[in-house]
Amino acid sequence: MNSRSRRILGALVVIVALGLLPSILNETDLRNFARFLVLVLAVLGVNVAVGAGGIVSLGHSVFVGVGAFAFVSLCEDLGVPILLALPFAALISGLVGVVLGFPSLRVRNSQYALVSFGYAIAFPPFARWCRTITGGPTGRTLERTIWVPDWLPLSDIEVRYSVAMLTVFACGLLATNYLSGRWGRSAKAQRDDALAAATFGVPISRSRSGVLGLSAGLSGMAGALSILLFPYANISEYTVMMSLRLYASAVIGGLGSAVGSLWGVMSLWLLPMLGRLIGLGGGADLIFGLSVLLLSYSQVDGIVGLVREMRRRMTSGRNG
Amino acid sequence: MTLLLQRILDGLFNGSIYAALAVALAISHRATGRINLAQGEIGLVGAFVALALASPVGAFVAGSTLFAHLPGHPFSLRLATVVAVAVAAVFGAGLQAFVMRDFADLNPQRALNRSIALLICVSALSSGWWGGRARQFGELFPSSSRDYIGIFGARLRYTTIGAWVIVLLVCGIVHLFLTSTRTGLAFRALTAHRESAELSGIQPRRLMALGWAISGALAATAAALAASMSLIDTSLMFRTLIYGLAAVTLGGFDSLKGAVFGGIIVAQAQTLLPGYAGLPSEMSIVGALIVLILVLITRPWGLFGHRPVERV
Repeated sequence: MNSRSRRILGALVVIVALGLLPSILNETDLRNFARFLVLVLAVLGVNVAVGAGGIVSLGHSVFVGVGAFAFVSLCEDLGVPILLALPFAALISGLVGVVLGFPSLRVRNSQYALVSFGYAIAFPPFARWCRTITGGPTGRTLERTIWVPDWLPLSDIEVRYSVAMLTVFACGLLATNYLSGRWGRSAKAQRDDALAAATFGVPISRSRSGVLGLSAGLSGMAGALSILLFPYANISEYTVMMSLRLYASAVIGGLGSAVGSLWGVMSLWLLPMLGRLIGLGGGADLIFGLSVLLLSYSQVDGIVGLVREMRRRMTSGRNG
Repeated sequence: MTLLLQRILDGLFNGSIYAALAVALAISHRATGRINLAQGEIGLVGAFVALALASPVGAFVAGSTLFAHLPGHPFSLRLATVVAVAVAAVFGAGLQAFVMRDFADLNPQRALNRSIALLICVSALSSGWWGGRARQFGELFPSSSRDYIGIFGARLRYTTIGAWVIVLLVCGIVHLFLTSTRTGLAFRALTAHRESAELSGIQPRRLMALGWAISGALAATAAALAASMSLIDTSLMFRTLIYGLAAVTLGGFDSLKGAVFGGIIVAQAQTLLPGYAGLPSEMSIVGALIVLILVLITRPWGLFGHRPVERV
């Protein structure tokens, strides 16, 4: 079996498994699982920008927020059906990503990190100002329900979870294909050496804008999906801390690979537990920060890098 | 006309905060050649220590029970702030000496990760201890409704004067230290050219820690001033940091004078723009962001900085 058909088979298995989940899990577990997957998508957005594009962005809470509010606004103010509003919200978020990412074409990466940090800080006041869209301090509620055909034996809430899970899966496929394809290669080339990449004909600006747009679109889709699952959007969620947590999970999971985002979000759950086991109080954020700190001392590229290293050692041991 | 003057004078107070934070950012940047994103948070820890020193045990400020054994606790807020500024200096030096030892030698991506990790850690620490609700910090200077000097009908409040006296005093001491002591000379040599400085026998470790101590003290001063103006909570310095970053970028990272002027300009823009453009005052943070972006794009070395020359 070649790798292409194996990949298609794998995708089918995952889709069937995800489709069966609502009938196996109870509502709480389903909710938590869907929340987990949506978070993975948000981290994947960061991962694409930082890992593939080399553009350190601390502003991804903005894109999650834009996706969420765009989704609510499209559904409630313009009456767009939910399934159509989802891609449009992601598209809007992606465009915002391209526009806000414009400084990254001109300034150095460490400086763009500052600028994007500024985006994350300035977003809540700005969103409070746009109260027709964001609802100001009271937030917005998604009241529109999803259209379920009569023959489907699923409740409204189960359909929502299925839509969310399938969308996350589709976005994950999109991102991995992007990363391993032509555009991903040119993004990585400009990340490693912009001058050399330009000499080989990589359009630097377009490549960087594309990476940021995709990354913001993925995170925006995560924002929209989280509203689909929990139909309430409030400014106070999209804070600097959210950005920092997303960034930390991307780094802990391992930059530059889609699986890394999965690991990163898992560590979002596991690390605080681990911290409690060894008696380290002080909350999840501290453990997160310490993990990133430890990683920055080593040459290891997150959990993915750790796994890769272990696998390499094991195979080399077997051969020699 | 009086309104314009009043707005300018009001903006001066914020200017002192941003100037102090901007100078702190500039000094720590000089010490390690990298931006310290946790600078504001280090200062915030200082301000919370001041609060803990000045609060009675019953006020439920974390740390106040720790200091309760000291004779004379709770201290007056001014004394507490002075002590806390020293504590923040030690804290900054300790972070640099133990956590950020190799900050200057890391590759850019790793250094950025380190800086972000430090930001998350310090912020998580202060949220863990002092998180929850916003608290009253108290007044550092006489600030009743009569404590002002009238200038053409506008009021220059004592708090503004006091803040500027403190900030200029501290900046003056730092400037004197840098220009007329042996250690200051070594520090400048390290900033100007790391390798040559190390080759001529300068020990970078001590100087880097010293730079972070100075910037920690300045950041704590900024945090205490910012807290005395409004309430103190764990997100106080996130907001202030953007103005500080805009100020230091505007002034240029390698110029103390520039950082002070940058602080004044950013603060004036903050008070004047919403006042005359009819925007809510919260939107001024977007203004600071636009200043930051425009300066980075058009003149990344700032108004007072030196244009870097790159050897190919």
